[in-house]
Amino acid sequence: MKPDQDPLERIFNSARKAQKSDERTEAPFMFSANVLRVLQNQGHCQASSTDEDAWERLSLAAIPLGAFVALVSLLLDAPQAPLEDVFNAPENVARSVINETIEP
Amino acid sequence: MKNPDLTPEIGADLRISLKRWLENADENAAKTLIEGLYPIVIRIIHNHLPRAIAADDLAQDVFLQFLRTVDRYDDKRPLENWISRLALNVCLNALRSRKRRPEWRWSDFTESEQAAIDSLLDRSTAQSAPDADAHAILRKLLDTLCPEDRVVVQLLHLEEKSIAEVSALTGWNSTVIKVRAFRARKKLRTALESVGYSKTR
Repeated sequence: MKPDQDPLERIFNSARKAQKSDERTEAPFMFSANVLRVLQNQGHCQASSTDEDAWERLSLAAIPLGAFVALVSLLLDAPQAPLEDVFNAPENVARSVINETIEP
Repeated sequence: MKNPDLTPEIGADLRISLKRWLENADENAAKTLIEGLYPIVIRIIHNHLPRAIAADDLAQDVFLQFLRTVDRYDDKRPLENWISRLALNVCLNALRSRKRRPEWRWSDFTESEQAAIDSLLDRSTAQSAPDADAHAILRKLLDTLCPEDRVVVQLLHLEEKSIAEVSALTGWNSTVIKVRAFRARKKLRTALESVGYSKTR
């Protein structure tokens, strides 16, 4: 590196070398706050205490990718369905995961 | 202008999965799509991630929007470009939602980073900063920029994309990108020098 090089160019040069591509972690993720908010905005959260409890458990659950996809799929099919209907939808991975979560 | 490819072409299996998702809402197809597109999305998120926001949270936002809107996707264009632009927009919105941008002072940096700043600001030496320290310092300095300036610096100077590629990702024209990049570099340089100056105050 030449002396008198712009400090900003120096920092860009070094930072580029340090920037690594990120690999996917296999750990299951939790539903993000925004995803939960979308579900609520679509009318999936009713005011009853049962649903509030279900939402609390859902927000704390570790969710595999298959469950995420399945739940999103259900919501797209029935955007205004109550949360209870989502839980009681035909057998799928989301239902089993959610049921295990909310009905320990 | 030809829309440049932003990433290498992904496999035909993802296009088949997309077709199956659009035609039958096939959940296995959606899962294949997410798994196939995840490396592209998570790389963009990590590069543009606002501090203190979990990458997987933003990734879910990207894929939720993807599955809700992919029926509007024009299949004459690369799917990778479409998901990349979507991911970048999610990052930009997350950056815009921050209440304030930090102002860094000398004491906010680790000893190792302080030594690196000294090296970077010393124009009389050819010695540079350790790569990891430089990267950490730059991430902090990028936090001081507005979201749009930050994205331009990241894409142009760290990912070394062309103006045409940045334009395809952001939708901004080349003049806007050049002006934004010029101003952002000036702000970054000032921020770096201000940190060095704050050492003596």
